[in-house]
Amino acid sequence: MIVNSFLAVLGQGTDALGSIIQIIYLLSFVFFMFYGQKFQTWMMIREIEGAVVKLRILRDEAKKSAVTAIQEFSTKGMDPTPRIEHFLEYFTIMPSSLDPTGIVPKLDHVMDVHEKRFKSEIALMAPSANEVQQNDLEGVLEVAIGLNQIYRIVNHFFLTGKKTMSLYVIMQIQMQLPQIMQIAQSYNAALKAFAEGQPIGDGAGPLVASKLMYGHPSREVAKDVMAADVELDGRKLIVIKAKGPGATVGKPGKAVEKIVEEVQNNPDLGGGNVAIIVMIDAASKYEGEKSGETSEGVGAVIGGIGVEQFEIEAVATKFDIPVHGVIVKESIEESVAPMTKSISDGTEVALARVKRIILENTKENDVVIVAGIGNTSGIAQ
Amino acid sequence: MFGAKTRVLLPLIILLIVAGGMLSISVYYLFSAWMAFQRNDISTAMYYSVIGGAGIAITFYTTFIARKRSIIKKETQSIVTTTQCSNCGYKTVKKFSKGDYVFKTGANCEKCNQPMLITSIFAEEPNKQSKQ
Repeated sequence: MIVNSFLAVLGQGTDALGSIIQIIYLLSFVFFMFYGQKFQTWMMIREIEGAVVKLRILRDEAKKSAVTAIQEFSTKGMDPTPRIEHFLEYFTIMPSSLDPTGIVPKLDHVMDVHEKRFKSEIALMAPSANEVQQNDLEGVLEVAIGLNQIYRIVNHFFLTGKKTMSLYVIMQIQMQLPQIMQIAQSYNAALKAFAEGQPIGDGAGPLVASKLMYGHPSREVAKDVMAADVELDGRKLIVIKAKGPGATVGKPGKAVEKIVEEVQNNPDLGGGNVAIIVMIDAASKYEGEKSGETSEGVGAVIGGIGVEQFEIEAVATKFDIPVHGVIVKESIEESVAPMTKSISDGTEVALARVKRIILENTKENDVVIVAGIGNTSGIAQ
Repeated sequence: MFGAKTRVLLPLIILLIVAGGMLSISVYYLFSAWMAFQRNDISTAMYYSVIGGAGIAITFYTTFIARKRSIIKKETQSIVTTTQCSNCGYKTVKKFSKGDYVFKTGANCEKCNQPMLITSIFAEEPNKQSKQ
């Protein structure tokens, strides 16, 4: 009967077409009423699946790059692939914060163990690499682990969403997908930068410090941190930066602590006091701001998990040393990608600002610590 | 049965087939509208042209959205090394090569034969590359 009436409607020419359209129109309402959310979920799952495929490609490329980079320095005939594959899921468990008292030394210890483990793995896989090359390989491996972690998280949400068909599970990852993909793309760019030893955006701080240090003899004051004594209009600057040109950030907190203690034990140096500490680092810009712009303020400008910041703040508070900061603005993606021209140009402005801050806030014979914070890949001293 | 890439591309292919079908029907309706207009049947012509026009608009919009999603951005940055002679200030810009780093002493200056210093290494920004 329904078929007959449908055929009857079809046989009525233009009016029949109108009726069909009306039926489709009404059916679409019914469809979207019952299946609208499912349809939306399905569309989102498709979008996430596309992202998962792209992330898997990036992860595999990263793994391949890590293997190629490490193979260059490994023992002849040894294939580092299985070891790298195991290492891609390497994890670091942060200390419990249920009782936060004394958490900083615990964090420091965990990070030390993490770094030592990385270095020993690299030394095993690439025994013929020198210190600089080992640091670069460490960077490559860190990025490969980062990309693998991003892939695993997105894939987890994708599969959970597909299993539950829950819009709210899927929305959690779908809403953040553009940012996640941007970060993954910049990690991909960072991989090449570390493998070839190019400076990255985060190297703005060390670049400013190295411009001040260049031509002066330097010494290692803390693990992977170099210091040089520089004279600026009668002030004695002790400039520190991570040991380049390998990809490392060093331990600037320990270095500042050590230098302050050294100055305290030597009354001939600025009367046994550090007048000010000036820190330079790359920092996140807001959308709409130009990359490479600089700004200044007070406080310890340093990222990371907070151990180094804590150490610098502790020593500055203990000896009442003002801490000034200069930042070079850049996006999160730019901070791990190869350094752009605008950031490189921005370091010149930052250097001029550092000099002005020193001259305005100190007098002759004062001792000033200048700390260039960040990854020093491709930047020597 | 299908690879991961094929499974992702499959909805896009289906969408393109459906879009192709919709486009043909829409063009047919527009043609019918023209024929009705020729017969002086204005109301039918209007009716058909609305359906045809809406069909074409929906088809293009859907295809445009799908195309935007399927594009994978793959930007290759060009990294350059700037060297400067510490004696005469002569500057050169060349493509980055592995082993270059800032403050590395490079080849001798073309003008005064003094060692040149790498003063900066940076990635050329994409918009500037496209302008060149």
